[in-house]
Amino acid sequence: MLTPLERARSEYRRVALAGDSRARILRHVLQRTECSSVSWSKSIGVGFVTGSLALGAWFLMQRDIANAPNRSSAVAVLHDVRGTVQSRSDRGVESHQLASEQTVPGGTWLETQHAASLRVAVGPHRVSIAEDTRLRLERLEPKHLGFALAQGSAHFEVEPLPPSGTLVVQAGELMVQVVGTAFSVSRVDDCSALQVTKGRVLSTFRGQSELVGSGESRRYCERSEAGIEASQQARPMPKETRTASESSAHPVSIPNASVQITNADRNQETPADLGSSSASTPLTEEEAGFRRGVQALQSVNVSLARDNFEAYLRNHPDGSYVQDARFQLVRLHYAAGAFSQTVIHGKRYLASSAENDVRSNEVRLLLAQSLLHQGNAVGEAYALLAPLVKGTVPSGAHAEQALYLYILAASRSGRHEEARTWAERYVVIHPNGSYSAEVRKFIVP
Amino acid sequence: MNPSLLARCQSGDARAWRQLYDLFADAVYRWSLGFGLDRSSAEETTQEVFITATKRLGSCECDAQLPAWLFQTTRRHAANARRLNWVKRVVGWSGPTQFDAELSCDAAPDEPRPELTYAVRRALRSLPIRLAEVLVLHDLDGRTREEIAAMLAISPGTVASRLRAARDLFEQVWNR
Repeated sequence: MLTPLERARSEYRRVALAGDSRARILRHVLQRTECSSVSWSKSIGVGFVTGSLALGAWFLMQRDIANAPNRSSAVAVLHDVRGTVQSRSDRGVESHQLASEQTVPGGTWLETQHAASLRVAVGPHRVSIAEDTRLRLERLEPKHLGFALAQGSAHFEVEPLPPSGTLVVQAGELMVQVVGTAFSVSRVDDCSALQVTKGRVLSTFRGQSELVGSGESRRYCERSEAGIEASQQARPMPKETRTASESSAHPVSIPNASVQITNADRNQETPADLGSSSASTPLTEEEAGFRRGVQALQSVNVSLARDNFEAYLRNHPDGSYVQDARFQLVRLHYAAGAFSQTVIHGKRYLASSAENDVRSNEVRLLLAQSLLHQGNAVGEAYALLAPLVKGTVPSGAHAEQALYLYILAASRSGRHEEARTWAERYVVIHPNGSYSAEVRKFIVP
Repeated sequence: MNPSLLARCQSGDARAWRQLYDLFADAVYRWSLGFGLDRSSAEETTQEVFITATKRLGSCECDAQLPAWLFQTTRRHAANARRLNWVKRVVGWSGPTQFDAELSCDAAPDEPRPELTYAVRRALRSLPIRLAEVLVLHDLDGRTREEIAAMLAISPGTVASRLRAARDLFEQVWNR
């Protein structure tokens, strides 16, 4: 009597690849290698000639792509075709029965009947199409792939895309833009459903974009007023956090960053009536001390404001406006390029800040930037920025900046793979972002 | 093993690739089955592993590392396939899987190809990947703990503890 493991072992050792499968797989593997099957000695000579030709062809192709952006230059290969699967071109109404290993060009509609299915390989990416589905291979270009789902379900397994590459799936008004992931899109009547199984996608519906992460699903209905009808296992999108200073725009640029204290700071929000010179009730000594700082800030006298806020902190270490003074000092020191002072006040501010403090994100950013400028605490900057980027979808005015700084901190702290991954996401989330040029340097092929 | 096999593959020699495939195709296929995949997924995984090899074999440093490199690649692809199969079952948009189809064929007396029976596959599929890999390499492939430790870059003690846990879980699922 065999034990279960002995039985498993005896079965396992009898197993081998069947002859037809063995030959089919070998054929695929050799197809991948045949372009490099020329021996080295020959390839050196041939390489020079073919390289020159390829360079010329590349220039021509770039020109063609620029002139004809919708032209397809890749094909899709069909696998595991089961049941009745037909193709239909835009030009004619005639349809053709499809078979495995067949190639189809861009612009083709693939239609599966009841109990039919197939897999489509487009380069390294895979699309599994379920029964009763109509999917159009909208755009098949080396860098840009597009699919349109009219009906049914399709599951996409997407390998990491090349730099500035895109893969977009359109289902009615829903547009799903891919970063490098696996997800399913289905469409029934006027409703489209999105289920992400790995990674993240950027989903856009009626002009509103959101990142949908692994394990999350969304359902979008076009007849519904709200649009997004249901969301299963979905993390709520974080509410946009507006800081007091966001309303008074102060440009912060990276890497040569500076907080410019401008006339906009005349409208700086201040606690109570301290900023107003027409306060009707007499002020205490503490309130007067803080008010001097605010008034200096309102008159854009940066050095005086800094001195007044520091004096307030010295004289009233437990005062009511300590956090407000620290917040202003973080900004003022950063604006003056005093990064060590920014770090000191920033850390103190964060240590005492409440969990829902709307200004803490800005302080985190300035603190992280100062640490990056100092260059000796990159890991600390990375840790500060991680909560702003990971786990939640960055939102608000500082989202783009936080993401860029995070990529910078990850790269400088040796997390190159992570930096590359987030750089690819940045390009998708902020295609025309302020730091696009810098971010693209982190995306290596 | 031909000592220059890896170098010849890296230079794009088709004969070397055929030789590599002949040497390891069955092993990769068996490992895939050992991770609890059905026949169709195991064949697909085998193909993916060798296609990955055509792109990334450069990261393998010497011929002696080839089995470990292929096993790690198989492990990654098998894990992906298991995850995908699970999602398909949960989402429920696909019809009966090949796994289910094969289940109905288990009782057929004239099974044309030797395959793992449903009970064995079910027990293997229930193991987490980190336990399954140790069980496959030790109890099914017959490798030593030291060999496995070197292949998986873990200590022999970890291999032993994982093996014990894998055997216990395998027995539990078998008897369930």
